[in-house]
Amino acid sequence: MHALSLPTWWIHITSVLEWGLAILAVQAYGRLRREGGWRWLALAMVPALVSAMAACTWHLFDNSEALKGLVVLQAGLTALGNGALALAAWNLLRLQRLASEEGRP
Amino acid sequence: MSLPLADWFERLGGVDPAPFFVLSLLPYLAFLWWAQKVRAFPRLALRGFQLTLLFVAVTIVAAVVAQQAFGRQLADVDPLHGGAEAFLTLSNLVVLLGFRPRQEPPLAGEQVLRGRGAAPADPEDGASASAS
Repeated sequence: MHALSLPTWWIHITSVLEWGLAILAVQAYGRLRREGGWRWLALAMVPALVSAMAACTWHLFDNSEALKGLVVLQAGLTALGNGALALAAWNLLRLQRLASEEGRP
Repeated sequence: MSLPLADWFERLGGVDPAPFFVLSLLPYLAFLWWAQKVRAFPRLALRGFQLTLLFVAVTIVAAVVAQQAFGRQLADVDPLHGGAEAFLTLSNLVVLLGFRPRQEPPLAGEQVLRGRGAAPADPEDGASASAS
C-alpha cells in the first residue's frame, strides 16, 4: 500500500466518501421533492462507486501488474456508469416534460 | 487447475482499458447535456459534474507527463497522481454540496401543500379546532 503517499490516500478516500454521500443526498433530494426520477439518478451513480473501489483496491496492492484486471474493471464500470447517468438525466427530463403537460389545462 | 473467476480476471487484465475510458466520455457529455435541461437539477451539483471534466483533462495531462518525464504510469508517480485526483475530490465535494438539503428554497406551491398535509396529522390540533 506504499505506492501512494498518505496525502494521496486521503485524497482518494475523500473522493469515494463524497461520492457515496452524494448518492444518499440525491435520494434525499428526490424524497424532499417527491419525484421518483432522482432515485434512478442515485442508482446510476453506483457503478462509479464500485469503479472507484476497484481502483483503490489496485492502489492498495501497489498497482500490481497481476491485478491489471481491476483497472479494466474500473474502465468498464466507468463507461457503464456514465451511460446509466445519461439515461437517468434523460429520464428526469422526460418526467419534467410529462409534469408540465399535466399542469397545462 | 484454477478457479474460473480467476481465469476470467486474468484474461480481463490483458484487455486495454484505454478505449473504455475514451468511450465513457460520450455518455457523460450526454448526461451533462440532459441534466442542464432539468430545471430542478441543483445548479451547484451541475457545476460539480462539469468540474469532473476538468479532472479528466488534468488526469490526461498528468498521465502524459508521468510517461514522458518519468517513464512511468500515472499511478506510480505519487505527486502527479495525488495532484490530479485532488480535482475529483473537489468536483465530488461540489456535487455533494449541490444536493445538500434545502440548498434551494422549495417552490411556494410545494410549501403550501406540505403545510396543509401536516395540519390534520396532529390530532390535538384538529380536536381543539373543532371544539372551538
